[in-house]
Amino acid sequence: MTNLEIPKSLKTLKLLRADEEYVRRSRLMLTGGADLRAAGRPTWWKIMMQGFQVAATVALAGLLVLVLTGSFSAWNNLSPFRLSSLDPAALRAEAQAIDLQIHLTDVGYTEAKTAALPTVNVSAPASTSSASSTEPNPSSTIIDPTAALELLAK
Amino acid sequence: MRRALLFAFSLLLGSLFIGRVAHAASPDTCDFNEAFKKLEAAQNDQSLDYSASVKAQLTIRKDILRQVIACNHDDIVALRAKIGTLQTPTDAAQRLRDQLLAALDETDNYFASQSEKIDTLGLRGTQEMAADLLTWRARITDQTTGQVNDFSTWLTNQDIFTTAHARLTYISQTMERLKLDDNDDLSGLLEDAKRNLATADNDNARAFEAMAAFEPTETVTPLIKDSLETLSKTYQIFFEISDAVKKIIPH
Repeated sequence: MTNLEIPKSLKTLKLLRADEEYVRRSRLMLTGGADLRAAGRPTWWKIMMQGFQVAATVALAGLLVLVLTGSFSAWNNLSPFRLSSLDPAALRAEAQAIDLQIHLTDVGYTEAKTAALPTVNVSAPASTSSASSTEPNPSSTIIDPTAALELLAK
Repeated sequence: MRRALLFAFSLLLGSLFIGRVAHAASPDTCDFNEAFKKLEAAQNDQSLDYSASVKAQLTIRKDILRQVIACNHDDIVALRAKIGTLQTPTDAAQRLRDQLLAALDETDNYFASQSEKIDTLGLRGTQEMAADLLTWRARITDQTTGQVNDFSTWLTNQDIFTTAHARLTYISQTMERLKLDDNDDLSGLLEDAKRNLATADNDNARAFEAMAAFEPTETVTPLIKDSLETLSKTYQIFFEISDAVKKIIPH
């Protein structure tokens, strides 16, 4: 090869290109061919994941805007007093239910004691006849069933 | 969670009121003032001869007996409703409820059986039946009513106790999560709360044992009240814990 032929040969070498099929096969071998082949095709899963990514991005961006503009206080909503069982409002509601039940127990007990007492004064019969032996004073007392039976039994 | 708890307690408070109001049903059936006014009028009616007076009084006395039986039935229906719909937490509680319901049924059936005999009674008969029903009625007013009221209160309390236990568990977990269990003051308060709740549990169990032994309401009611008052003190400690945590963790 003469000195004149060397630049000519270099120009020829510059135009050399690898065979396209050979390039594709080499690339598949290096990167795990099947995955690469699949990666090229759109699938439902791929479309769904892309959709999810877009939605997540939009949601995060929206949250960031809310936090930056002060419309959402992360502390207020994630505070231990809201999340945990130390929320005073919830504690108060439960404590009030207990106090109410104590009150109702007292009322029930008093009612039971009152019910056990006769509600009318059963006086001695005014007449000797057994038929007219009841002398209630209906205008001034309440006659409950027990008192009614007491009056009839006299 | 907060809204759910508030909603649940609103329901509980509502049910407590409804339960109490339910017993006040049918006031007219159990008011005997008018009937005795009539009886008094018949006794004092000078226009009636002896036979007509006795007949008039007998009719009114029979009506009063029928009214007593109807009133007794209403009372029993109200008492049954009081404990019939509440959940029983244990088999022993279920057995006690069955026994109380059986006692109510027995009285109701006895009164119903007496109702059929009223038409055949004379004046002396109405006196004797009144005395007999009085004995049975005393059983309901003096014993069973108190027992049913105590049992109804106790059953309602079991939900309150369950909630208190859940609350204590959540508070313990929260303190652990926030790494506050090393704080001496807070852990001391938590121990006090646990001790109080255990005492309340003990009183609650003793109240049930007394009911199952059919002890008088004078014995059972104070035990139930003690258990609730100790539970109330436990919640005071919960408030103290809440305040103390607030000071440590500003919000």
